[in-house]
Amino acid sequence: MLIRLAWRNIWRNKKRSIITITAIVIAVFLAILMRSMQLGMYDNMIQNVVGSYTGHVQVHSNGFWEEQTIDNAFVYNDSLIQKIKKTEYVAGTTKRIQSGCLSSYGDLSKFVFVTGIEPKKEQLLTDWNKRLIDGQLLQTNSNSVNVGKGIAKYYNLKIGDTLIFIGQGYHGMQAVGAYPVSGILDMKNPNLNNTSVFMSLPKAQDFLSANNLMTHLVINKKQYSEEADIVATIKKQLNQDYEIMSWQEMMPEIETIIQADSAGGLIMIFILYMIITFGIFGTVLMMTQERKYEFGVVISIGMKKTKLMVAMVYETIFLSAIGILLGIVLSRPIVLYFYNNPLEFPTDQVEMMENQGFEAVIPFMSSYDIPITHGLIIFFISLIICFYPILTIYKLNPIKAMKR
Amino acid sequence: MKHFVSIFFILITHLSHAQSALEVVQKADLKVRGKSSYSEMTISIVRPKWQKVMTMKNWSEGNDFAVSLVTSPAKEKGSVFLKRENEVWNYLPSLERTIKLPPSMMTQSFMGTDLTNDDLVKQSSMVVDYTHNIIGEEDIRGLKCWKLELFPKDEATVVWGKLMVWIDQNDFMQLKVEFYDEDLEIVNLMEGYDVQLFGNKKLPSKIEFIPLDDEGNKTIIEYKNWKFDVEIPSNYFTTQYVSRLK
Repeated sequence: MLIRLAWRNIWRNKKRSIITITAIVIAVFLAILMRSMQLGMYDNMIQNVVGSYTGHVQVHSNGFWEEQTIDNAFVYNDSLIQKIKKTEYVAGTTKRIQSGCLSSYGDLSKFVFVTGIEPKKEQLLTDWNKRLIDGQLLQTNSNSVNVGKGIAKYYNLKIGDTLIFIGQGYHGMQAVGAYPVSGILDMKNPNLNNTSVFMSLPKAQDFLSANNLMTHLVINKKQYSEEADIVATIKKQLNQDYEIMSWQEMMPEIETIIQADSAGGLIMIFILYMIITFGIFGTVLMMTQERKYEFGVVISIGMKKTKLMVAMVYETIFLSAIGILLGIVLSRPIVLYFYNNPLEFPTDQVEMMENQGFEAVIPFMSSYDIPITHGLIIFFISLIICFYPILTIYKLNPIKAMKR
Repeated sequence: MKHFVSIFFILITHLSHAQSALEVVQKADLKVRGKSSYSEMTISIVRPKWQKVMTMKNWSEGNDFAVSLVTSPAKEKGSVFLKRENEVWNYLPSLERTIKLPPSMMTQSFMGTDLTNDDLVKQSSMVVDYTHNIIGEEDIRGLKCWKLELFPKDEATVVWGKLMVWIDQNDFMQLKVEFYDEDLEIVNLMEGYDVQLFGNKKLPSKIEFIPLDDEGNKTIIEYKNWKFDVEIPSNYFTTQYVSRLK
């Protein structure tokens, strides 16, 4: 009965209701777009660097992170890897050996990181076929290298050209070698593109005189699990010779950038909500004042104040629900469109973004978390605003209200 | 007048002292180098967690020409360092290529040791690039030594702010060198041990090079064989010959 009354009340004055609904629709719409864009950008950043390359958790020899030299490599054995694989939430592991060295082609030279990888296991981390721009991917025992596209561009490399590497191997051994380029990769991250050279693990170990050694054991987590949990469990199993780090520890800069940027975004959202709150409040205030006479009449013919209040709450729920749903429905196609066709930066800004280490695209986040969160926030805001008409009804003196 | 005489006397002795300081350094320098030399040595790199030993053969002629061939470990065998005046060339057998070390690499470690490439080139600079002063006498491992203080000349391009050198009075052997940076803080220490007779020359056969900033790090050079004034074919010091050196 009260619900029907509320429903009818809404449509009694269509103009008024539509104004209120529009305010809510705009609020929901803007909030969702803003957050989808921001979170999508972070997600992309994390996915490009962490999920597909750094791995969520890494195991090194203790002290490696402080001093990242090949001399801090560690011997791997199967029991260690089995132990880690059996740990809860661990989806997979892969071994890497990495060392910085000088590369040279023709008259040019450039500092690069040579990384020995297990191609098959890296494939589980991310689809390397998608990264390959030209040539072929590494095989388990390839005697060639795959290079980032930044390096290829710097040297103007073609498939089959031979790159020279000079550096220092394990325990002061000279690391010198010439390897043909078999593939060019786009690592989706400008820093990686400019410094990454990949070799097969056995060839890299040979190059660095580091047989049976590795510098990184990369662990990928299962979906929807916490890195911190994995770190804690593995720490309990291994002794002091190893350090176990989550990507947040290894790349605090990404975490910091995200937090700083996200805080900025939240302030924007907060301002948006403030404006919207007062927008909605304005329409409600207007509506309440308009309907004081009507309230007075209804109460004087015997309706209980409490029932009237409940009807008011229902009205608010209807109004905001319609507004929120409409907002979500309207924003959804836009979010989905930009999720599939990420926003691209204007060409003059692309380089600047890439120099900072970001890919110059913003894919939106299509997760339902965002509409649900922001829908609920606005729903609660309207419920709080609804206190005003309730208070008005509570204080209402029917005789005064009916006086014109 | 009395004063004047004493001042004059001090000046004279000072000058003659300075003169003999230069002579001492020159003699010590000439002694190590000779007109030409051939040596076989073992270089041990000592690090807190590991050690590496390599062997080398060296040929040198005067100040300007020197060539070193790595004979072990197997992986580095055949690498050659060629010094021609101020240039250093590095031949890498695995690449079959000779690379001229760029100035930027001169301050880098030589073969992972505590010595820099620059240390190899600038061997003679102790005579030319510094002013010398004998500031005292001290015993080092039982041998009576002059203690010399060397400051770089203004126009000299050297990295050190000061050197302290101990040269033995009988045989002109450098038994100890302290290297100071521009703030006159001691950075490196070089000491010679195990004096032996090579041909007719008495020289320390074992030289330890210790960077004082890195605890537990040092490089030890041990001479197994050292001949002076030997005939060396001049093509030994060309970039064309490096791949054939044995």
